[in-house]
Amino acid sequence: MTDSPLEAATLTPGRFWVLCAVITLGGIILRMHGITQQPPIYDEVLAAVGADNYVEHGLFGPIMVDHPQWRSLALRATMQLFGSGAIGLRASSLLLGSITIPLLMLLIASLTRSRLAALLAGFSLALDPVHITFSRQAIQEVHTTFFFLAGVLLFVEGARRTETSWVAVLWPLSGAAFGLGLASKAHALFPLAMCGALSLWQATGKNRSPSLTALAVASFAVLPLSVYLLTFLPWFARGYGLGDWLFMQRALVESMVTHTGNPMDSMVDTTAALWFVKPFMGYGNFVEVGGTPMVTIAMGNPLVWLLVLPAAIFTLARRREDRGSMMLLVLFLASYLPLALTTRPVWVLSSLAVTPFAFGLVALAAGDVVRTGRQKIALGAFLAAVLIVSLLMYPMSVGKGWHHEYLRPLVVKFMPH
Amino acid sequence: MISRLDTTRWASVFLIGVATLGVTILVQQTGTAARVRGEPPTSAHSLPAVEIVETAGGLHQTLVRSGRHGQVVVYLSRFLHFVPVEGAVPERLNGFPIPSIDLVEVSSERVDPKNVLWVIVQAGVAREIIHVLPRQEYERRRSGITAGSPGIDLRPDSIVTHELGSRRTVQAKLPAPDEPVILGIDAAYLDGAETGETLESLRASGLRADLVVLNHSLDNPDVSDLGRDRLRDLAAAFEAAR
Repeated sequence: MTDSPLEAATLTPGRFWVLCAVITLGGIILRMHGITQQPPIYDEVLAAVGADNYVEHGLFGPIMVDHPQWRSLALRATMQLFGSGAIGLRASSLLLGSITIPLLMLLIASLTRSRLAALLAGFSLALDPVHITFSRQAIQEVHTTFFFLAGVLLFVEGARRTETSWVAVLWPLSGAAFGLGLASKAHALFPLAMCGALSLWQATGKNRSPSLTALAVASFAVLPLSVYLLTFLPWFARGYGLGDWLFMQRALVESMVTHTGNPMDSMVDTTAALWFVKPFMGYGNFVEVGGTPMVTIAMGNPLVWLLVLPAAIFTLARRREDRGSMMLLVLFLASYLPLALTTRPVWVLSSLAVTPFAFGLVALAAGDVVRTGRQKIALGAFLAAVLIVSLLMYPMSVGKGWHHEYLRPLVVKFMPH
Repeated sequence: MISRLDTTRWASVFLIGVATLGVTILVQQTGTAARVRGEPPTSAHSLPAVEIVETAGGLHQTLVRSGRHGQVVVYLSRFLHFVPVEGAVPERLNGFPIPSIDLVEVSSERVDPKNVLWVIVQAGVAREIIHVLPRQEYERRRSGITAGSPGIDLRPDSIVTHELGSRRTVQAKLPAPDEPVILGIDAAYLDGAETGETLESLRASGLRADLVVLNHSLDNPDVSDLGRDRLRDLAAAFEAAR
């Protein structure tokens, strides 16, 4: 670890792991609290019906037909295990959403060698209202994030061990994780493409190695595609062949790229380019429960989100020589720019394709700034403010925003008129 | 000389290759094994089984009961019969547990002339639909489509689109896929086409069917009596040819 002297003195490995556990536990509590009392939104109902019908009949729909089908397989498995109640529907999102918190800390520690940055990134994710919202819903958003972060971490660890046999295990595992990410949502493609390109660069660089090149291609092109293909098995059982599959992929990708929203979609805050500039952008889902409106709103904590772009510039200016930090920056840009530059609407739920890397940048910058005891106090105050704001926003993530007067000005935007 | 490190890497590449090949074979085999066809005609001169139905429900039932699955369906009609069944999942399901809803069952219960081919795809009988329209109707529909519309591929002699990724082709010419198909002929098609002319086109097309279903469409008010009379003539011609 290359912590600052202050950090090295205060953040021993033992303390780091304890804090990792505390942050993860806090994140789990926020994701699990009252989960069985939170009524299902219509997306979840449709996802549950879709899961049964995908496995039984190989049918896509009745929701998010453009997206791949990992969600349906995971949901069906958990519904078989726990029934079609709240836990059965949300178990996979709760599990993967919760594990993503320590996973991000490990990734940031691995990339930047800074324990403090790792903890700060994990803290931001644990408290991120968007990640909390979707960890509590039976749709695929946090699944995608978990799998591509696992893919990146395994890639990085493999890339460090190219002169050992470990690379022959870590890179294929990374490719398999990316495959599951792709099978969750297309967003996993961006970090996959980046890791694939870096693996090829490493394999064909100074110590050019045919075996490493072949391993890179097999791990980051062939294997993800195979895993992705395998998740369509129930669809093939309808009588389709590989030619039909290619046709279907082309058709659904075209449909996804030109998607402008369903009749029931909330059409506010659909510009990804504004995510880290305009505070309080959100994604809402409205249902009426016993005559009372229930709106779950995924909205970023502005204290963290508004720091993302300055942190990216800071990292570029101050850490240009540090390969891991630059990789984090490139991962952020590679994931964010395609969404920020597209002309079709992009809802805030897609921010989970970007925010883990964004939080890593904010954490890295914050870790770099803190050098003195006084700055440490300022950081503590900032973290306390992040915690308070996230807790104040928490009712929106769990569908209770309308019950709190102070949140109504934010909630009203997402109510159907 | 190959080092131990190289050997490990190549072994990993080999395993990925084997796994990929296995997955590719598995999915392709699963698909082809799931196709259930009837017995094709024994010679070029013999005819496949011909079923006559009165309504969209009859058409649906006949195909489902035939046990066929994953086939190409060629359907001759003036209409597309492809309006999706909406609202299969009630919007006011606000509590747990989520009830189990079989979309195939729900759509089967709502079959009508407007949606019958969509329901047949949903039921898994058809993996691909080829709509054959009378020339004039085909041209009318084609002229209403703007080039470059998402999800629609305007080809010289056909319009290719999809339903949840399943191919649908709309054309005026009878196709000749390289596998036996289910052939449906709707009285609506014969509103605008002569019986003899239709028979001749079928003979000349090279289309191989292992099941022919003639639908009088008594439940479709937009079909004329002339079309139904011509369909009866067509049925008689099929019968005579047996």
